[in-house]
Amino acid sequence: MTNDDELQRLLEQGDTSTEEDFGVYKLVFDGLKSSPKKLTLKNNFSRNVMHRINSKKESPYGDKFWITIGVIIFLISGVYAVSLTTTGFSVFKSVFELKGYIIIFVVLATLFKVIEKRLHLDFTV
Amino acid sequence: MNDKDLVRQVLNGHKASFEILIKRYQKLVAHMVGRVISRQEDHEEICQDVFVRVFEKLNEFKFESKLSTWIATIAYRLSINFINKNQLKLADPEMAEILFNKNYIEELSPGKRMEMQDSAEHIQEMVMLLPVQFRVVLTLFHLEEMSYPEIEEVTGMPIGTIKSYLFRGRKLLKEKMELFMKTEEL
Repeated sequence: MTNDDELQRLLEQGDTSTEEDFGVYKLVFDGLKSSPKKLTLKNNFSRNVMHRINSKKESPYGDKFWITIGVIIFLISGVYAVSLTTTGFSVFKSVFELKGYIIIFVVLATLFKVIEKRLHLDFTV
Repeated sequence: MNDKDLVRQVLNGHKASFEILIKRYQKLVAHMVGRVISRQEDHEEICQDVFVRVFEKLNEFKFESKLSTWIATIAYRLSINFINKNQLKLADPEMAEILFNKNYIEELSPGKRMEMQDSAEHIQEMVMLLPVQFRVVLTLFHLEEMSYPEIEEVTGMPIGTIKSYLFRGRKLLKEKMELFMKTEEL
């Protein structure tokens, strides 16, 4: 066993009672025990984590899901609007004529949101 | 409140308890992640990811090990995944001596060395010049006061390797400190 081995082994065991010259090794061991100043987190770190957890729980479907839904709705409305305008129908006129469907759509969308919130487990503080 | 009660409360839906858990272990996570990922801008985000993962997986934790060991394991794995995902390279531990000497010359200029207020600060700076595996075992052993089996659980490294990295890492630090003190005396 080399002198370095022996010194490190004694310091690991906390045995500094011998006559050995621990010298710089003692400095190294003490330095390694000190908390690195650079590796600190902001004061609001825990709050930021909780915010992330809460927002994740509020939206069980990922962002991609909602973006895809949005794009699909946008495309369908676009195709519908174009088809109406090219056949000579006014979009506003057809909205008026299709008010029943629009009301049903709004009711279903609201219902969907309410059910989604109910299914989502309540997380009390 | 001990860890068991704290985990039980979180699992029962008491959100404030998880905030206590974060505060209790954020230093450990910050040290662990910081020793693997040098870039400051990624540090906080990965630390957040660690706690989000802890929250998601807490129901799988069965207290077969200490909570701190389990959290450190998650922190280590996420940090290593980040390195692999971003195609960053881990330095080869076998080349530790050469790399450390090269980094020491390139990163710690004599002026910068003189600016450091104490030897502890100097040692902390030097630790970051070692290969990641050395930094991690040194931090877990000295700063987090983990045992060899605990470090083995966190890193997946065999105990023999852990001991070798600890010994070589400390020897490199000691040699550079000796050199620094000699130049300071002149």
